[in-house]
This record gives sequence, structure tokens and C-alpha cells, in this order.
Amino acid sequence: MARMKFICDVERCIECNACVTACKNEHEVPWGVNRRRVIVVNDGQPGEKSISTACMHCTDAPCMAVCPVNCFYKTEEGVVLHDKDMCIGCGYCSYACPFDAPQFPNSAGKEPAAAATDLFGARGKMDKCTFCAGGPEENGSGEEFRKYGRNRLAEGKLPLCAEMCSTKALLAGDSIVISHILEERAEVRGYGDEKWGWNLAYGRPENAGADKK
Amino acid sequence: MTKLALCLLLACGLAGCGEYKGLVPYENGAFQGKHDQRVWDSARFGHQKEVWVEVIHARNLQQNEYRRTDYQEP
Repeated sequence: MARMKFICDVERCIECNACVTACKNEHEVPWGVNRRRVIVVNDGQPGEKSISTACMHCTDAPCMAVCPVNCFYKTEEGVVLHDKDMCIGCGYCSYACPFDAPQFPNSAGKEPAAAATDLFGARGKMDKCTFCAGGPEENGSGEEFRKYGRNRLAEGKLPLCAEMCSTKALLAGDSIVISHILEERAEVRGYGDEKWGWNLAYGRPENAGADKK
Repeated sequence: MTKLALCLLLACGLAGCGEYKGLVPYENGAFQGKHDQRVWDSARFGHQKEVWVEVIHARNLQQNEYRRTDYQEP
């Protein structure tokens, strides 16, 4: 089994926000916290693109490297998870993440500048995309659902955002398989084989951050 | 010539030391010291990784609508 990854096919994303809604509903994510969101580039201009983005579960994850309490860990499938019982809500991961994935419930709804000045620890426990793989609690338990949402991987399913995507713009799963799917698509339509964010998220080798104990 | 071959061998040998680990080890029921269960470690998959991988692989392939609809290349 290769590493689990996301691909957003920007030629197909129509900014319907079904992925965002599916994620919020599946994990009962609190108001103001968006584990996944759709970003529009060049809004209203010719060549406008929409990109569904969330935690990319980076190979050399900067959040893991900067966490002062070392609450992050990576599974065999390459999914970056964290232990909310250890998280102190310092927000360092939020500053380190190039995809703005870490979310803080107590800062939800505030302007970025206002949220950035929230006092140390006042942001609440960090919340982010788990690739629908839950967290350190027992798989499928109520406690796991309450803290991290549903564990679909342990049910043999893929992240709901990708499975719900109406245009199949968002692909999730084994990197080799989803890469082939995108390549086949690009070959048929004759353009658009770019894997958005892949160089940034997966372009570096595994580092010592993943081995922290 | 022998010296050159030895130098090349040494360089190749040392290059191996720079390799990064590609896999995250699962030790004592934990990843990097954080306790968690493996996704396939349940009665649903008979505690067998191969079964889970097969199920996930089939699910992965369902994302390819060309295959789902038995698309034929023009």
C-alpha cells in the first residue's frame, strides 16, 4: 500500500462546496471550523480556477516539526494525525502549515489578524482533516468520533469529501492509483495533468520529524 | 584504476547512509510513541492487512468514472 494522498483536479472543480459540506456533516465539525474549504483563484477573471483544499498529509510535515509538545504522528498509510489530549493550542502548526489546515475552535469566525493575536492557549485544541482516519482513541469508538470525527478508513472507506465529489474533481486514496486516474483523464481530455500542491506537500523526503518519540 | 574503483565503491556505499526511512514503524501499539490502532486491525477485516488493502484498492478504483462506465477510448 502506497501513501494516502489527495488530488484536486482544478479542471473539474466547480466550487460547489459539496466536499466542505460532506466533511462538516460526517464529522460534526463545530460552527466556524472548516477542515476542508474551496479556494477560488482569479475569481471572476478568465481562467478562474477552484481548488478544494485541506490538510495534505505532507511527507515532511512542517506541523510535526514545529509542534512543541510533539502531539503529531504519522500512520503507516502516510496520514498525519494528532493527539488532542496533548495539544496545548499554541498555534505554531497553523503558522507552519502552507495550506492553512490547522483550525482552532475558539478563534473560529474571527478575522485572521484577530485570530493570530489570540492569547496563548485561548484558541482551543487544534482541529484538522484526519483523512477520515480518526485519532488515537479506539477505532470506531464514541470518544474517537467526539474528538476527531468518523474513522472511515477503518471501515474500509475513503474520505467522504472525495467520495461525495459530484464531478470527481477531488480524488483521495493510494497515491499510485489516483495519479493514474488523473493521468488517464488528462490523456482523454488532452490537458490539465497538474497535481495541485503536490510538490509542496510531497516533494521532500521523509524527515526526522516523523520519527520523533 | 583500482584506486578509482575503490573510491567509486566507497562513494556509492556512503550514499546509502543518506537514505531516509520510507516507512513509519509501528512499535508497541504506537506510531512515534502515540498509541493508536492500525486501520485494518479489526474483526471487520479479520485483523488482516491484505483484506483491508484489497477493499480500499477497490474503493480507489471506483473513483475512475471511465472504468465505472466501461468507457471505450475513441
